[in-house]
Amino acid sequence: MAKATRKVEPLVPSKDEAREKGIEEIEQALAERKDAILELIDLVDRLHESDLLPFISALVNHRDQARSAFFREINRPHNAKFARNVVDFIGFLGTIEFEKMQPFMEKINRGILEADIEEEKDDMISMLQLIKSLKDPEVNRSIRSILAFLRGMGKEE
Amino acid sequence: MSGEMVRVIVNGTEYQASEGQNILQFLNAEDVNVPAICFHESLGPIESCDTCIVEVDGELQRACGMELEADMEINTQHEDVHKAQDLAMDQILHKHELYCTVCDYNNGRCAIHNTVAEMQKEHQQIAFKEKGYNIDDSGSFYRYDPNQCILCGRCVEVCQDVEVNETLTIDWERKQPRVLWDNDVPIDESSCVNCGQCVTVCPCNALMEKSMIKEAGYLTDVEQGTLRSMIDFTKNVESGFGPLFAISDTEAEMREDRIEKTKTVCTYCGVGCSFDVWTKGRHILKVQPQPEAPANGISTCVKGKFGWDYVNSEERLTKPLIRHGDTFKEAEWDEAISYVGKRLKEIHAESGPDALGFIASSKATNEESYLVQKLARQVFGTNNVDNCSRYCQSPATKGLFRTVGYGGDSGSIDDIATADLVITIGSNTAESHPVLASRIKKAQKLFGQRVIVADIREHEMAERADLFISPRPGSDLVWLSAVTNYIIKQGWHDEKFLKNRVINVEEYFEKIKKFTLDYAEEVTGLSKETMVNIAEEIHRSGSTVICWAMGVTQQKGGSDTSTAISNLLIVTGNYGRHGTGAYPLRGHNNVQGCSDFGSMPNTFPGYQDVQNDEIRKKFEEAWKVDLPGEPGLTNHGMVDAIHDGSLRALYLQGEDMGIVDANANYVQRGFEQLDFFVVQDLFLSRTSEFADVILPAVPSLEKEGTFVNTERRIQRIYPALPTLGDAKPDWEITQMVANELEAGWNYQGPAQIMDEIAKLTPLFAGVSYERLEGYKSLLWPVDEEGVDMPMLYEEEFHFNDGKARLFYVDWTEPTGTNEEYDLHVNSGRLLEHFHEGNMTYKSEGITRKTPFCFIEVSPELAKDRGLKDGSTVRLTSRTGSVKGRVVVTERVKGKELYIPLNDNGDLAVNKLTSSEVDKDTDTPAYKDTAVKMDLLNFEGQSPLPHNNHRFGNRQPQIGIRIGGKWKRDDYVFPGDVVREKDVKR
Ligand code: SF4
Ligand code: SF4
Ligand code: SF4
Ligand code: FES
Repeated sequence: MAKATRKVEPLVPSKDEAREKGIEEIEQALAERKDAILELIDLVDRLHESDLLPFISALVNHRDQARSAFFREINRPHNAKFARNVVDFIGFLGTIEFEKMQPFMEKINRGILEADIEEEKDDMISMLQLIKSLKDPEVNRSIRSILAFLRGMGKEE
Repeated sequence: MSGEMVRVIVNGTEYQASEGQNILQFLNAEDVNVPAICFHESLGPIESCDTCIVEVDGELQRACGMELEADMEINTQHEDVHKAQDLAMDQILHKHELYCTVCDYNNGRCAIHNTVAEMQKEHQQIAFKEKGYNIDDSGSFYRYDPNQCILCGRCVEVCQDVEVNETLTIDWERKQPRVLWDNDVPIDESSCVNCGQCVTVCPCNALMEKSMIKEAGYLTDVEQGTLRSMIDFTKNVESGFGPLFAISDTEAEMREDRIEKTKTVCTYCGVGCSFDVWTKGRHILKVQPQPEAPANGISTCVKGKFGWDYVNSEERLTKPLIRHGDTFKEAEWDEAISYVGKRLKEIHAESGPDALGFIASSKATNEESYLVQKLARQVFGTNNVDNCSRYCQSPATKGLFRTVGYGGDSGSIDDIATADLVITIGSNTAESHPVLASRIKKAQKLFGQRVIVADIREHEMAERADLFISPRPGSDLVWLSAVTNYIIKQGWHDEKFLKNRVINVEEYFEKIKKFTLDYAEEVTGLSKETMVNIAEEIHRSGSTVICWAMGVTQQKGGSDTSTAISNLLIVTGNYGRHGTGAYPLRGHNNVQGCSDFGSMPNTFPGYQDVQNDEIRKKFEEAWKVDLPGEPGLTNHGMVDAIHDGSLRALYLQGEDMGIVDANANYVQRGFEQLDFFVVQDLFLSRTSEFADVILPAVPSLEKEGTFVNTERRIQRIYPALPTLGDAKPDWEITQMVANELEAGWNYQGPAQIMDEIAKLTPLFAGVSYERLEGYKSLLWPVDEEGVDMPMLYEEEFHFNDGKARLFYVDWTEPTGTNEEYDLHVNSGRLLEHFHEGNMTYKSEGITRKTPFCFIEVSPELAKDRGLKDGSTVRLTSRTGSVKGRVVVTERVKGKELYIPLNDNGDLAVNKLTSSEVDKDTDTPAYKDTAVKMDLLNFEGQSPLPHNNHRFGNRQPQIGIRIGGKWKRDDYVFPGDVVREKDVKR
């Protein structure tokens, strides 16, 4: 004999239970993704060392203002050319085959670039192009503007 | 002659092609690339964009607007061709601004974006210019941005000639043409039924689902000012379209990372529309129908396209609930399942197998229906298992079993669309089966199909019909039989067909004589001329289909009337050919499948009789138990058995039986008496309020499985979203319960369940998940090789002797009205709501336009009783009473009332309906309900707000009337410009 009812008592786990369950879930998630997490920690370390972390968090916190400021700034006539250069530059980056360059970049990191430069002739050429394009005054000005802009953003915080 | 193979030359190469074929389609099929923006494979040529210009026999022409002829020479590479196409594209970019990176439509499928890219266009010659109209975002579900609209007319074409709602036009006369809703009113105040098809086919972002806006892109959810500067930025940067596209394409690809596209099948009606659902996390971005969808193509109705809010409703159950006194307490699965197992076991032990009853859901999957009946039969040893098709469809099935052998539609929706004559009886098709109705509306509007509608209510199909007849309620059998008799008397029956393929002919011819026109006129109120007229229509038509629904089946003689329909078709030879046959339109998405897969008291899956020893033996061997050989109780019988105390426990899967069953009060009182009541549901439904345990289930978007639509078409669904909270698919829940009772089931997924079914069921012998992959589908019967049967009875009828039977039936008089209960109540669907409403009322966009249920009253009755729109009345029948507000409308006549069945409160129509049933199947006679009316309050607001589409003002026309564009002073055909012809001006 059951009367219709809409009364529902939620299952409220006690604080300890909830905490325990939460920790269990986290542990499991961590264990399942051990490699990724370790890498992440490494990355966070590096970001922290390079002072980029506070900058990124500021940017994320203010992403709407940032985006709006960015586009307001960038729309000024004198920046149009800059923007176009950025686009061209991105276009150029697109032509470089980064996959091929990866071993080469690693070598740079390990400081053994000199050692067998001969073997890497093709990659070398792309790399040289990249460096050369950085020297192009237009591109260079653009890059500097980006950096200046980013610095400005950092200050607003 | 059209269709003949002829020789044509394309860019110097010879091709064989069929004459009369559309040139653009031919070129596309041969991989000769021609841009085409306004052309859509599901719409055909519109000829509005001019981008498809090619050279045909030396002249520049629109490829989409021409048919192939022998020896034609086509050139798609000539310099002038490219110039003309380029000019056409310039005209489009004059109307449409390219800001792809910050556009929510930038998902890799924008026709404009892709065409500009394909043409390798670098610059535009004519600058973009706004048209000077505001965005219209007044509607519930989509918005129109005139400034992005390229006036291609796809939306108009689809609204006029595919959906055939006839809301959209383009006014070519005005200075600045645009798409118009009705006679130029805001979207929200128009006749638009929100089917969304215009949005589906729009080639760009001019029409877009609101759910996409600021959600699809990475950079699109910004405030307006910033958006404007972003657009300006993307344009400033424009050093040619190339690099701009490189960025926007990258962005589009990034979107792929977080937007999932999953094929699913709609769960709102028996048409069985399939489409892709786009999701981002749990957010539903949009529903995108695909041309290859077998039942619907690019079509949907408002519910399938936009009615999915319920999936993310706060009210979803996420944990099992166990009753303690008059409160439910949330519990973990272990506890809930072991409690369910224990109680069911106890009752089984105390009172035997038949003290338990099981009810499957017509909204759950086939596999889930199979498991419910397997649980009942294998684990508990009872045939007390049924499903809600009992509420609507069993009589139709019965009528077909008696005469032709299979309980399903004789053919596919294509057969309905291609018939010369369509007769619908007791079916509010445009609201109950919208996409199927559109196929009829289109065939009638464009291809001269004749349509006869028999209904007591003048709904949309009735308005459109070539002949609309309104027989007295419950009298359809009589006029059908009289027409049949008249046809025989005139000698218009199909002699050869009857001789070769039918038995019981003479006996039937003799008995049917009773149904004279005079007698029928007296009973039905139709004139003799009308019936003669119908007979003549059938006689004149090369092929006739009859579609029917609840107006026929939910009557005391529902099975008999269904039989009479089939008899008429047999007598006139309208079976076994394309464009013929019987089509009981199935209501819920899986009404057909739920019965097909065995949740029936008298049949195993595939309508295998439980009384047949051999069949039972097969199942006994497979399931390793003894099975009962007597049919069990129908769900109606179960309710009676609860009342008399012999049925003590009920297990119910996702069915709001307390609302949808007739005589709801009686059913609910039954629930109160149960010793144990388990409900699987998404929500705390009215029915589940009576439960002892509620097990949280998941909707179609969160699980795998298959459905069967009204055509007998089996289609697969895929999980588009993760399950919510602790809720689980019904099949998993049923398996847990079975295993709690040591059944030892071990299904990893629905695919395995289907494999088991296929082994045990000849009807589905060749059904497998591989054969149903993606948009593939099968119409049962499916043989072992996987060959299906879209059209039945071509070779033989489904009886041992292969012959159809004429099965004489007599009329059962409905109970009807009397002096006290003097008004007849009709009930049925509304386009925009579903069933008792616990899914669609969760959609704000639907509810703001149709917030309440209501009572339709005729102008005569309103005058007579002193009612107006918004007056509150009480209706009282012999079994109960309801209260609601009135809408005065000519859709109903005289003393007829109409109540949509989408309410579970004060106006739940089944409080009125009695326990009378179809005498052959126990289907409630919902449509035979009489009431008396009391006025409670004269004053009140109309329950239908003014922005409801029913108050709109349709603008019927064929296509977009492109001539209007070509006549304009400012229009020049790009081909003429290139060839420097004498152009106007
Ligand atoms: S009815 Fe409305 S949503 Fe459907 S095609 Fe017409 S305008 Fe579009
Ligand atoms: S709104 Fe209609 S006419 Fe305009 S672009 Fe879209 S489909 Fe074409
Ligand atoms: S409710 Fe029916 S017509 Fe509407 S989308 Fe769903 S299946 Fe199609
Ligand atoms: S595709 Fe031919 S005119 Fe648009």
